[in-house]
Amino acid sequence: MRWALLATLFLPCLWGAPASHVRTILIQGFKFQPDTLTVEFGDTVTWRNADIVPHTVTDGTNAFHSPLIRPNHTWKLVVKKAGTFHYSCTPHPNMMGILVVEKISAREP
Amino acid sequence: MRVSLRSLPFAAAVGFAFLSLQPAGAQTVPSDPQIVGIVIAANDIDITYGKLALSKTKDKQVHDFAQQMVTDHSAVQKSVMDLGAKLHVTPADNPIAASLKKQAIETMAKLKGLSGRAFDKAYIDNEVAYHTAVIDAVSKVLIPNAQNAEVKAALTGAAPLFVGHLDHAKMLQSKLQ
Repeated sequence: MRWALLATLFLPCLWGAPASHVRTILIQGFKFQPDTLTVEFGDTVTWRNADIVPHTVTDGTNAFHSPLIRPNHTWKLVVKKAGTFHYSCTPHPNMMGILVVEKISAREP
Repeated sequence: MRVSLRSLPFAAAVGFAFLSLQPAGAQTVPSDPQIVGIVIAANDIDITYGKLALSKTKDKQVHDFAQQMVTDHSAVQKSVMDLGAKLHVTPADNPIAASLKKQAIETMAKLKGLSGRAFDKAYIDNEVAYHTAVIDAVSKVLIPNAQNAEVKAALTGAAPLFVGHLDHAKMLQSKLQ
């Protein structure tokens, strides 16, 4: 009976909770590369600043807002809200990107 | 009286300064010390323009832009000077840097005589013209003629910053029309 109870705890893991992915956006040449990225709910997005000046990642609806990301530093976001997010760099507002977060039914809360 | 800096052939003056490397008939290219001297002069000039704008503008977007020019060009300045020190390249005085500084003194005098919206428009118009000329010079003269690979790489890495600044300045220019 005890073994049956333990099995019910581990079976969901064996049958695979959906794995989240880590995706990277490079900030280089005053551009977000790629400028449009589609990810899945629960994924982690890392912005890596390869420029010589700091930038931010600021969503237009304030869904997410990084601090100043210094050169050679990164900022990570675990996406927990589905939708299409238009973001930009606060000090350099001509730098724009789009993050599309898709719902995955198996992982919806 | 409204004065527009658009009447000044600033971009042409800066462009001519970069092309007038030698007296007529000579065929040389700028040396790496001269290139470093030119970049330092160009950065210094835009930092100076930005500080003037910070002291005069009442427009938040122009203020934020000017602050960014000071911040970003100071960062580039530091990286250029650090690289020069690492490579033991001493920035060399040269006619191009001298011409840039001379033109900048004239432009500063005109900007100081303006205020309010007239100043904001003139400052941003000048930033568009200045960055356009600098981008042209960096891509056509400085990068192709840099001898040291690290100097060339540094100029190549900084070029998008100037383009980003130009894009930002043009965005503001259209808003100030």
